[in-house]
Amino acid sequence: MQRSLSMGLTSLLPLKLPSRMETHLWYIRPDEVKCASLLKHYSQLLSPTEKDRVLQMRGDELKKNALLARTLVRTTIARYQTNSEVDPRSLMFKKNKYGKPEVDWQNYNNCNNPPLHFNISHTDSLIACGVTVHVPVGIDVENKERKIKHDVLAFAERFYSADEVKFLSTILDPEVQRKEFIKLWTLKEAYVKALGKGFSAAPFNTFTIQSKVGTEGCYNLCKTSEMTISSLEKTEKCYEEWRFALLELADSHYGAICTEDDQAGGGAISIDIDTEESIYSVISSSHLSPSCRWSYEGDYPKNHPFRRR
Amino acid sequence: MAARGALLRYLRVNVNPTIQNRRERALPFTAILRRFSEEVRGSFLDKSEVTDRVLSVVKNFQKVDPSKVSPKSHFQNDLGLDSLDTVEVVMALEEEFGFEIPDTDADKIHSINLAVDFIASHPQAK
Repeated sequence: MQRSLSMGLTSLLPLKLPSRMETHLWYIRPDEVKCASLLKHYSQLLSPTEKDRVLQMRGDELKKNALLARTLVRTTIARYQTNSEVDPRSLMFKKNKYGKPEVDWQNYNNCNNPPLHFNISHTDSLIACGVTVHVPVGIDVENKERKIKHDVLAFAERFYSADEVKFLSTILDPEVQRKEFIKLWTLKEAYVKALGKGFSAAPFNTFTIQSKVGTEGCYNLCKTSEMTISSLEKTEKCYEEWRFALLELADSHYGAICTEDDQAGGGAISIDIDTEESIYSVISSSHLSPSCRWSYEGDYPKNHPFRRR
Repeated sequence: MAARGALLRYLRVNVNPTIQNRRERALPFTAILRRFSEEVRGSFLDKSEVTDRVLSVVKNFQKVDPSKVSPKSHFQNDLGLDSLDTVEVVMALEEEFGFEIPDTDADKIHSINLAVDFIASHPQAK
């Protein structure tokens, strides 16, 4: 029997908007989504263009991950609409002039729309979506165990800043060095994505992200600029308005978040870890075929946002 | 293959019409040197050679399924590479062709075709 999609949508659990100082991070692990009819439901949420793009990906895994990424974005944003229910299918997206995706609110009544910003990141084993209000956000996730083809220091010397190379070269244990390299990668990517002007607008070797002394998981952004007057001394300018946090997701991934603190509030960033759980399904499992429901409900965790304040 | 290409470049002989030759004899030595270096700067790699070499660099990536690699392959959509992988591909191409690819250009290299076009039009590529 064909289930109507509208029945499924009434079970979209609404979400309270993040506060100005919060980022909500939602993630999904593709290997945990096995049900074919659920994936079919999800594909019905996509726009025709998105469906085409999913189909263009070569290989079932790539298709599935692309599908899950769009589903995560659409359902997450739809759930933040406080006034009336928003059909995830009706959301429209556009790109800024540098290609960064944003929500296109043109079809909605302006005063009711929260100024939501979002950013997604995918690895083949985890897809994450970060949401903020009023300020741009950048997210990047990487598998903790990720190995790179090149030597870590050689790669860093080519792409990272001199201070970051210095920091990495002081780490003697190659495994710890590799992990710090990956963490730095996610932080740097998150910054570039938050800026939203493309990789070349902020070349990786023009800025340094370093750990804030005495904190766990809090970082600072500093840029080197050359004084062109008399001395060619390089000065470091630290930018308080970009805030970073680095998290461990599902024990397997690093996730970096970068947001703009437009009020330059400064102060310590506290990371509040509630329970880390992934967003599984926003369509009630009662709308799945019985065989699917069984295998599904067995692993079904409750939805829970992962907050950074 | 690379040696053959290098040798051919070294042995390349310009065929000039006789009128120009007469003019050349009248030029001072430094002007002749300048013309010779322009020719060296203007030498580009053959596109099919570049394609072969780019394909083999990409196929060498452990993450990549060599059977999926074709000249039209898009790094993200066809080969499942993410941003870190793409940067590694760029670095491997720099090592293969012996020149540094500027960030603004690297940003645009999303597929094998784009890599080939860029490298084949870059006189510094070896």
